[in-house]
Amino acid sequence: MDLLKRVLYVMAALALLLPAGHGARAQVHPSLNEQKIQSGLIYNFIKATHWPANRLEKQTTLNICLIGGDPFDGYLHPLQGRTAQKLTIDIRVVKFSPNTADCHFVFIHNNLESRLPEILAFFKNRPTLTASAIPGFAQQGGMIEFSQKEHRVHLLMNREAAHRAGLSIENQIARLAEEVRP
Amino acid sequence: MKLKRHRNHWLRPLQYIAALPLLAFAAPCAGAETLDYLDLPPEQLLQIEVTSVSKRPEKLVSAPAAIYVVTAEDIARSGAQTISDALRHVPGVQVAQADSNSAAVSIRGFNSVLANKLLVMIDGRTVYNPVFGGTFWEIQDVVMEDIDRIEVIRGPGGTLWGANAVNGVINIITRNARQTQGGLVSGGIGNEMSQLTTRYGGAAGDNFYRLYARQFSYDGSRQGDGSGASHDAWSGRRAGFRMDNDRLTVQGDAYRIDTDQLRNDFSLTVPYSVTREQTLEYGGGNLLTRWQDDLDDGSDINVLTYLDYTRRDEPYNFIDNRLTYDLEVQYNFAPTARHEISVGSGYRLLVTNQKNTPDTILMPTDRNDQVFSMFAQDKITLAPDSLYLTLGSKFEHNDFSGFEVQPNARLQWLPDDHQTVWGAISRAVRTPTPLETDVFSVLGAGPAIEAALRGNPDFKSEELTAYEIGYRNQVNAALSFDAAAFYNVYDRLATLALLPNETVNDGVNPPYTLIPIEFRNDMSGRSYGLELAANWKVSPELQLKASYSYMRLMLDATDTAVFPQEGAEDLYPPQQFSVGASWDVTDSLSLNTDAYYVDELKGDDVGDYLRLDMNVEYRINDNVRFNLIGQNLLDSSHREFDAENGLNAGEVQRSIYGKLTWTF
Repeated sequence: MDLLKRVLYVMAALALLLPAGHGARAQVHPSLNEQKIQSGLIYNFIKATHWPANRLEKQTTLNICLIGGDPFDGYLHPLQGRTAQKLTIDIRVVKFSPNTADCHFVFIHNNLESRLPEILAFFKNRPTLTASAIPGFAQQGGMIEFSQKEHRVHLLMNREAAHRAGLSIENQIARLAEEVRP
Repeated sequence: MKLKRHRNHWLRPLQYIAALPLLAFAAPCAGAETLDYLDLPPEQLLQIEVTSVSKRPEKLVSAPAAIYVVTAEDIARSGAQTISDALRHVPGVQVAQADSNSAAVSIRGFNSVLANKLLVMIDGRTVYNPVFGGTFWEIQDVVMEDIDRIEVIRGPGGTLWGANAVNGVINIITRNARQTQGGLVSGGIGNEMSQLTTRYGGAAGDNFYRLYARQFSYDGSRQGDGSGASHDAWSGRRAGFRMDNDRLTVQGDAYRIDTDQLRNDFSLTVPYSVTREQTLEYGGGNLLTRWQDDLDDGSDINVLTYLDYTRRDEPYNFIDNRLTYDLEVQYNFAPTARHEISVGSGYRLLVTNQKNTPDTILMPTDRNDQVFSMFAQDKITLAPDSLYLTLGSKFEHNDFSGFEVQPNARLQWLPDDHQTVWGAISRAVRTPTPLETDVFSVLGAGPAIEAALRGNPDFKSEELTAYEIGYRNQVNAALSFDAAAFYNVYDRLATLALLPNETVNDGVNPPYTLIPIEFRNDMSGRSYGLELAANWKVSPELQLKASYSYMRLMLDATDTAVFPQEGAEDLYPPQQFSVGASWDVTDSLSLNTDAYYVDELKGDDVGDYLRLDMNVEYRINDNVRFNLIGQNLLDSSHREFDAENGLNAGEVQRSIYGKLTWTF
């Protein structure tokens, strides 16, 4: 019983040591990890992109493919089942294969850097939104590149690649990205 | 870096930090902001500062320690069905299967089925048994598909993880429930083992969960002397769950495992010693909660608390019953751009109850042992992006050895963004166990004479001072290698001393002579070694890995040490080498081969051996895959280890195992 009392006493004392302001987190600039920020941006892109009409008709799901692995540690997965473009979002983690032509949006994992030319050649002019965090992705023909600048997530976009594929991205988000012209 | 000044009241007197409230059960920051990052407008997302101060493990390339990570993919490709088998490629780690149910795993020497210089944890929960001073691998049967990674840190982990991490730490980390959604059923059968595992993961709003159950059974191994099957078969079942949301994780398991073993039963009457077959019953469960929060100023706080109940019923030895309660808090913050500080404190209570047998008595049978600990560490930037000095120490007070200090200093130099050179000096201790301080256990008997191990309450902690250096190079996306070298100085190592004979009149037996033997700290030693590892992705379909370990250990016991304690000098393999190849033959067929060479254990008469394991995987469709796993393919059986008392040592047999896995 002495032991229990001692523990309870210190419990009470220490409850006071929780950092004050803990309950009053400023909402203006919360700090988040990089994967959450990237996931939020991807959701925005999916809502703001226009695919050619025939690409989405007769589809039941909007297919989001993480090629080569999940670089978001699961933080993108809560989008599963949500709605975008009047379709249900379906997220899959896949290897690179011809089956990925079914995907409406693909994110290429950094592990596949050595295969980038092959992968970009496959998606060239296909109506699939391509994104990656591989440095130089946009320069080589990818549509959206995630990078970091001054401790903040930085976007690069190759609008011409998207245009040639028949995709258009609303200006509201496109203007926030640095334009890359190869 | 624009950070708010850290709060001063975190540095209040030690007595307050020494024991902590159940913070985990205090309501976490209320609010529905769990998944709001998905609904933030892009302008806001691009404004947010990305946190870099956190307990997230440093990018592997730059960590100032000898770390090797066994990934989930490594485990899947190797076909390893137990955690100990998954560790065979790690340089510096000795893995030996002693018999069907006992594995001996250690880092940098001193291997034993109860290796006491290695700390093992699963998701932050210590699975090292403090009574025996070692880890019972037979009761750590985690579902292999649910392991995210196994981090192996060779070298003293005393500062961050506390006592008994003398030669290293093995951290088994399971996947977040977010990553194990959907169902999985896997069943396998082979000539040595069979198992069935089911797991289902789902989501309820922002909370992700999984539930699992598994059952397995293993045959016995074979006796080396050709006398047939060993008495070491084992089987068990386990079930558990895990729930994760943005800040909180709750997980738990319960298990019941039976293992067959042999034991000598002693008496003062003829025949004095009888070898008996027994079945050990293990049972237990745990419940763990982890909570973390990132604060506005870039700092973060983590709280871990768990309850762990274990019961080990060894009919001819004793029954060990223990409830462990643990609470730990860690706070990471960066008061200035050049200092990243971590402070933490912890409290552990072990409530033990033992039932003794005439052969082995642990006194007191009921005990409460407490461990209070505190650690602090500062990573100082001497030159941005290139030179860092980390200084830290852990302070612990425990009921076994009193006050312990385990400091360390690490320097890391990053010549460019793909190379790291590091060096470290550390101190670590291995605290006494009740088997060394409080036991009475008969080791042998004859007519009117008995030899027994008797506890020594003055037994002290074993000590280590370690000097390490390392070099790591991620040459390009396809090739990386890692080298580490160490020089260890040990002091106060455990020895057994023979004391003068005593005559015992216990009123029950006729007077007999007792030969007492007790643990002392009469040995010191030095060891040095080199560990190398390389990884090469030859092509998108072919990956190779290799590792090499070299070690020498020299021990020095004073004259009071009786039994050949320096024998541990001959109980480790001076060299180990391994090579692994993964080949994706087609889109649905993969072939994985692992070869291991382990040098002889001179002291135990265990010869050197070459072991070959293979895993052929055929993916029938997106949801079903079949694995054919072969282990020890090169010979029908070989010995990897020996038993401490001559019993319970079997040879590892060639095994073939077929497994079907269905995910949905």
